[in-house]
Amino acid sequence: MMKQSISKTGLLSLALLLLASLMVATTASATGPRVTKALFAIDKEQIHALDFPPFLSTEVKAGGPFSEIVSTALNRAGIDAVITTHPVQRMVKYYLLQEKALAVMGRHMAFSSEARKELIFIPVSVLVEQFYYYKPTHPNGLNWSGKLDSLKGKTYGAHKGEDVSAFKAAGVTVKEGRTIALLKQIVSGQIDFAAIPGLTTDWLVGKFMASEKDNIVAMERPAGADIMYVIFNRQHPQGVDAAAKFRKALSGMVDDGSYVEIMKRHIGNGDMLKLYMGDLKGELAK
Amino acid sequence: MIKIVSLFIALLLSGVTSVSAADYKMVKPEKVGLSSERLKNMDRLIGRYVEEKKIAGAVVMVARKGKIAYFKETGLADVGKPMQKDTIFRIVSMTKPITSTAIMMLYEEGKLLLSDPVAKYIPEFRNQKVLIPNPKGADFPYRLEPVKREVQVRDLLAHTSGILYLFLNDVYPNPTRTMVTDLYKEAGITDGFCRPDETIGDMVKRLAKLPLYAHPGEVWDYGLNSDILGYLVEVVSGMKFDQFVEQRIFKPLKMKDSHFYIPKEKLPRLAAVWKSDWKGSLVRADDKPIIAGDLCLNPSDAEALSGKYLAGGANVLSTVYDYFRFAQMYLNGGELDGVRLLSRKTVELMTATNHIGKHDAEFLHSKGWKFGLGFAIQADREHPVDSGDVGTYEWAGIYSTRFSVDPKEQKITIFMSQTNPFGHHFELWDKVLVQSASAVAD
Repeated sequence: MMKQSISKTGLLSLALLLLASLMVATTASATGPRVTKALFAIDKEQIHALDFPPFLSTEVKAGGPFSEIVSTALNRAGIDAVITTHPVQRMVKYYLLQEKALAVMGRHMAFSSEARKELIFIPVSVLVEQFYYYKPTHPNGLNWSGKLDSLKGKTYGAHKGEDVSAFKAAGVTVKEGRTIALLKQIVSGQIDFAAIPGLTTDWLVGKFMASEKDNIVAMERPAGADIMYVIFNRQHPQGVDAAAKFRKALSGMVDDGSYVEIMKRHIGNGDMLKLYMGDLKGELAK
Repeated sequence: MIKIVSLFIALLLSGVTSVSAADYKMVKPEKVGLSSERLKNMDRLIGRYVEEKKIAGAVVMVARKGKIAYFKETGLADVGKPMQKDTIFRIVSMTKPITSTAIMMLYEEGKLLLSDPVAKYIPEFRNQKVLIPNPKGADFPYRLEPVKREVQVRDLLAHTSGILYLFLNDVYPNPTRTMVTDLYKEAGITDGFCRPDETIGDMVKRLAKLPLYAHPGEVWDYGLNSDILGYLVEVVSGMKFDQFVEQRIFKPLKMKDSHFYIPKEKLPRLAAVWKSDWKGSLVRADDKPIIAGDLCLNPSDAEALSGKYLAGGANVLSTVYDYFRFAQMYLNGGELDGVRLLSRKTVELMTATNHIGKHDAEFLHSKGWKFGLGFAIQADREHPVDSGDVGTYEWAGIYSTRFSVDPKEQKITIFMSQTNPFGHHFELWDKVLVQSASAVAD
């Protein structure tokens, strides 16, 4: 009697278990393969950045040196965040100012004085830029003396957000564009010159304009230096705290040599380090 | 033995009766239930447009029951060069059904499902956002919303992805649309009609990271979808898109004059593009791009012998006869001359099903037209654009080319010209299809 009773209960339990497992299995097989894993990933904080090959891009190994450096510093600072690259700067600014993202990465990012009060700028690299021009158009170069007056009457190709007030004051006409668009405009004669880091020019010309490799040349004297920042957002609940931790971690990487190691692995040693690391220690100390 | 002999005779006969590139194997219209007398209206129609200098020339074909009953060239292909039956045309958006065919072949091979998220193959499509206008008075004019569901392969085939074309800004002025396409421009995305010097994959990866105009599945908006499909073919098949199409579609269908980049020896057969004001001013376009608002067309792209950009929405050059072979393959349920590219069931899925819900595919047509997986499909006969039958499927190209397949009447109509701007041509295309339908005489 007892055995029969157990058997009935057992059978009922088994039936329920089987039904439940079937329901789970059906649901899983119906939805599982139809969505990507990304939909189930726990939302991490995102650091939004403008695509900037070969320093920061999904197109290069490990996302490029700046991606690896920033990821390492974030990791050391205990900040669980991923870098997301965008093809346009407006998207980067949107996430920072409107979505109140934890941080963004970039250069040439113009903010109003009001917006700047809410932001914490931490330098990641000091990049030397060269003025590039098209040799067939200007066979004798552009006589860049180090003073912008020497380029009066010429047309400069600026990146969106770049401070061009000095160019305009010197009588240089300014047109805006993405880096690759600026290089194409140099070739087509729409602009005379643009300031771009040498490695970026090499990468873009090699990928998109290989036949013009010998015609797009740099002026001998550097154009100047530009700083790549990670910009933390005070309006994000963890923004201030994360910025302090990140600064400390990045300074630590500069001090213990791991910053240089990553740069060496991506871009080489010697002059390259001087060109793309600059006096980062000094900038971080400011 | 008898069976083998019968098979041999059958093969021989099928070879004799099939259409060959050499002589086109035309038949008298009456043999396939068309009226020769009524088809003269087509002569008169095209002749009048050429005479009035609205177009320089055209090639028109009407085929029925697998046979070419009408195939006529009129006017000029270029200055001092008469139009020929084998003149090569920029078919631009008539590339799209070819690209859809490539995708559906991979679908039949089990390489992908139409319900697959595109992100499964192109990771840049993950976590896409939609640009949504904020209410008036908000701090910011727009916000980004995560997609309710990811863009699927079927969205690209049916143009329900929320991905746009820039040139349609002028056709559908709308601030949100303009904002999306401004981001396209900033990211260097073009419609591909002025070919950029990059690979299609480079373009697609950037495009995928930009906001959508609408949630996938909630809109019908003609856009860069076929270009993404072309890159998807590369990712899924492991072949360059042009090689896949040439080896798997053009070669089996004997489309000998269809190319992504024209072979040098065929350059003399390429038609010129003509600018027409539709009032009698007709000028051959020069080598400069034609720019009108957000539309950029570069006729001289077609003269390039090679290039990196392989646009699934725009790249192909072809002839009327080659496109007839492609269309006949569809009309036959996926097979031509013993070569099967698609199953009958897949062709049914692509051509006889509405994939856009309540929306109408009005861009080239009118209300009463729906969209399948690569073609517009006539859904009723109650609206202005009538191609002769419910179930007729067709598409067109921006330099003025159009094809139409009427499965019920087993009839194919193809018109090819090379005239800009294309807006005027809706009238002419519609009239061509009226002439074709009204020639049915059985």
